[in-house]
Amino acid sequence: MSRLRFYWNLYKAFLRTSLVREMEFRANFWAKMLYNALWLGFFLATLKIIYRHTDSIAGWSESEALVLAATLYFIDALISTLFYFGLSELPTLVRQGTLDFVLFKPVDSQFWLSLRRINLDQLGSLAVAVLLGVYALTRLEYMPTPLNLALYIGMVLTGVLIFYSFHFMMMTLSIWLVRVENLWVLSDVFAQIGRFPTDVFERALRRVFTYILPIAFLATIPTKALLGKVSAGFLLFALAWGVVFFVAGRLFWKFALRSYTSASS
Amino acid sequence: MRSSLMKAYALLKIYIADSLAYRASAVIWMLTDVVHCLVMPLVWLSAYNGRDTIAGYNPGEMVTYYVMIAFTTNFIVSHIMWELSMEIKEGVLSQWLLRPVPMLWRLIAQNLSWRAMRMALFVPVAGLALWYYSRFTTLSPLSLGGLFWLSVLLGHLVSFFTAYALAALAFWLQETHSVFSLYYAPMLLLSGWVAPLALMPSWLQGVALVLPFRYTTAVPVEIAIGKLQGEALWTAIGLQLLWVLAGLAAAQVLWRKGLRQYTGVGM
Repeated sequence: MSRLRFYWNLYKAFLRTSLVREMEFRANFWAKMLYNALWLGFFLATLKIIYRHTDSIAGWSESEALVLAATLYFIDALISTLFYFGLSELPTLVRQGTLDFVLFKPVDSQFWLSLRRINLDQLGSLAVAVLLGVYALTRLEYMPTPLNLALYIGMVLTGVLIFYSFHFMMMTLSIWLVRVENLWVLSDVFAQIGRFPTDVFERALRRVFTYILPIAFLATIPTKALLGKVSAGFLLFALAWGVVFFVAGRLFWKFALRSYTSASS
Repeated sequence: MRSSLMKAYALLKIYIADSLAYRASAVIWMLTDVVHCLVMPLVWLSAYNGRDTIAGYNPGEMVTYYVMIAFTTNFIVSHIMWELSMEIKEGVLSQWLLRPVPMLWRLIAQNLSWRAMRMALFVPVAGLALWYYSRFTTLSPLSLGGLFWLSVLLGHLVSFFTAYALAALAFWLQETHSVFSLYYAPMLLLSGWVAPLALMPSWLQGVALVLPFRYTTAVPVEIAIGKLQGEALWTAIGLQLLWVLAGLAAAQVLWRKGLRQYTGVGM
């Protein structure tokens, strides 16, 4: 119990330092907000171009695709707020050998690496994602039942868990691939596939993206849950997938540390 | 003359070795293109819903379009401003200014070897993608003649000089990161990366005609799949040439002005 309190206090300290950091670079804060909005606009333009020429893609109407876009954007923003920037520093720590200092600390290294940097300029994106989702549902004239909403929230959290674990595993690769400075692209590619409903893929690929590389859980399956197209039992399956992925990420990290050579010290 | 050739050869040798050393990074960057030419055609194929064409593109042409845009992007689109602006800000540029080799030379050597390697890496991917799609649809015939390659080379020079000119902004601006990032949104939209320009609303097509982006990748790909022919093709190539010259002129002016006030911080 005191261990739990210790980590909670530590997290509060992370939050405090992140806040101070943001305040220091306030102009940058707004620039990044604007930049995030621009990329959402860019993706919405892509959707608009496609739906100028068709009413549905693999059975998804424009409004349904908008709900999906809002979902992915929300998950993406949540990841960026909580984990992304801390983890993205891992390759640099490995290259400079400063990972040693992290490993010496009496704190779980995964905890420290994942949660240290809280990126508050993504809060605007979270709000925009929610607004976009509400707008799309209004356009659909669809009111989700409480059950569907609960399923949706559960699935979104699972999506976050899966995306986080995937990003952590990709960053862990830096222990071996010391010179590769663009490992983050791998996580971007993961999200890039998830932006569209996985129903556009033929059956074999769809299976791969559900059961092997769980991209469908990022946005397609949560959105289907919200729209009432997924049974409640599926949530259990999704949760199981999330847990498996998280454990895999943790084991992979422990395994990788055995190969860490502490290059420059 | 002879010593110039030797210098060029030495530079090329250095940068081929350099590109090979970073091949893992190159493969990872390429994945973005691989995924793009996997996802977008499948999205469009599920959008036809039984129709024959969308804005003049039949399914086969649509698929080939995306494979070709990903293929040519590997050679054409230059991102040189990121590294160059770093060199300006950290003062690393100074060591290049002191060498008896013009700045532009080493950039061209660096760029050509890196680009050639990336395109070569992409050949098997493009082949696999075309084979995969040939099971669903009849692919569009490709015309990869001399005009296509000429257009690819011109497209690269347009992109290269634009990026080279952009890099010079680092002489005046503290923070170039956000400016460069902003450059990518119109670039991806109007160079035909997102979708063939024929599918965009007509006002946007008008915008695309007067900006340089169309003259990087959209023109060569439209030539390859036979969408640009006859007079329109020659006009497009002429405009590419014009943008190459405009880009070169802009870059030379900006670099001359910038170098005059370059202080070589960090030396």
